[in-house]
Amino acid sequence: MTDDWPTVLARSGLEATYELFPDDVREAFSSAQGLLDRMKADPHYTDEPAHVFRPAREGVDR
Amino acid sequence: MSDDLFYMSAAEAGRKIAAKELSSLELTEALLSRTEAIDGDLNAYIEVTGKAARATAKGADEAVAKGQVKGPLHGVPVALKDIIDLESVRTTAHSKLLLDNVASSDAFVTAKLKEAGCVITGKLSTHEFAIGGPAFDLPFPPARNPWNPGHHPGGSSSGAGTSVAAGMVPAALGTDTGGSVRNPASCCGIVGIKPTYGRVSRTGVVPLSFSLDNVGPLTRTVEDNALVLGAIAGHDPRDPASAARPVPDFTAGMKDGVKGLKIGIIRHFYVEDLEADTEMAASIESAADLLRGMGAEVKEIRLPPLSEYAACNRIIMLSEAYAIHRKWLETRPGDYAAVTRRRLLPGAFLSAADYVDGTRKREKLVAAFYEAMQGLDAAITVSSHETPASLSDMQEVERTYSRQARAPFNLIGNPAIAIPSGFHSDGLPLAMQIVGRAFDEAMCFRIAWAVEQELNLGTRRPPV
Repeated sequence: MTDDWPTVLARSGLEATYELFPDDVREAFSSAQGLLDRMKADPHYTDEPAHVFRPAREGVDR
Repeated sequence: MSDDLFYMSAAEAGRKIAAKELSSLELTEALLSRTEAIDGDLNAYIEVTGKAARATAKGADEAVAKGQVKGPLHGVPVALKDIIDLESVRTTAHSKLLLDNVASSDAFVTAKLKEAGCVITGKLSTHEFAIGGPAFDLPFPPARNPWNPGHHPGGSSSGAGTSVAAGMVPAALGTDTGGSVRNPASCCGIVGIKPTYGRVSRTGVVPLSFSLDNVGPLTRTVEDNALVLGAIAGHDPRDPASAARPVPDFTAGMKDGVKGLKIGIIRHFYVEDLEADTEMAASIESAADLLRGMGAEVKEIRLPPLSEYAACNRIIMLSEAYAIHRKWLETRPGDYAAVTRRRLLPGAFLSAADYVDGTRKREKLVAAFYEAMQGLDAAITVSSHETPASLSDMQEVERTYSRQARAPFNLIGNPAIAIPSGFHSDGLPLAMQIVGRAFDEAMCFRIAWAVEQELNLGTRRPPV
């Protein structure tokens, strides 16, 4: 668990949830970090996000 | 009561009703009786709307008598996953949080089914909010697999898989954000399609993840699936993702065969990235051989690793889902099932930049798919990496649940259909996926129909 845990928790807005379900909230933090590691995003600064609505609206054939 | 009615396809039922060889009321009564007889052990339905179904069926028969047949599904019963609105009936999402949530109008897809003359028989079990399940700490019990009620039926459209496979209804609507139509289809030995993103409106459907959610049908045959998709597809200006595209007759070229088609096989998803059960993997290879035998050219293609698609899908899904559930997770966390809470909470720890990076990664993963699909008509791969686990071993359920190759196609947006590919030695169904080009669901159905005819698995029925 990070040294900044109180700050991380406060920023998440889940203080009250943590009081009731501390294990779930701690696991959620670890799970999110694990997902970010596995995604391997490493984008270049010019990389655009996916515009998921575009093919639907414009009928792009792909 | 005859098994023939329980397992009659939607297409055959529609033909017989239109020809006055069968009444919609007779079929509806038979299926409601079967549901009453067996659903106490399977938990497919949350609410059966029997009275309304009988009235609709009677009206459908009266219309036939006047020569007013609405189409191939006229008078055919269909059930809805309980996150899809049916006017004046609760949409609970299988959750304590929405127990009193009565729909004020029909979802777009419900209205389309009614326009097609279908008889709505009720609302079906789901994983809570289409993400949390199977679970035993919810207001309704989890659906069970008709092939072995000790095992789960897949999800999140769990009741849809169970009800269709058990002969309670010939077709059901589910939703698919990371594979939730194709998973129960795979686990229950039936057919389920995630259409192209934008093909089917989500208006009136409880959202999980706006850029990944789709509505799709589950049926026992490929032809039925094509008919139901044809009935629910179409432009809806109330859904910002809805495509303004004509809806073809998805059955038109379905029987054209696969000779001359070029089909990719994404083998590394189940051999290298995440090793599948040997019988599951063998069934995909057998299907590839079958397609070759029928004249298709099948060649291996490679995409980025499955884990990258899965993680990217989860980051986008959790970010979007958390935006929907944040208020409840902060103020009523105890009203969720434990598994739902645990699956949703990671979204609290993903930043806006993480979400945007997820969508940037998505663009790259989409591009890699299109590059690999150059010159191909479709691709095949695994759906689930193994058959469904026993509900008596929730750790095994949790361990195996994410072992799948469906989420990449939610991320990409292209259509993907799951169909049976055999039976495991444990008695549970095996399944494969066929992925098509954007808005080319017709090609998915064409390949799926050819495999279905060759394997001829439809005569085998679950022991219920």
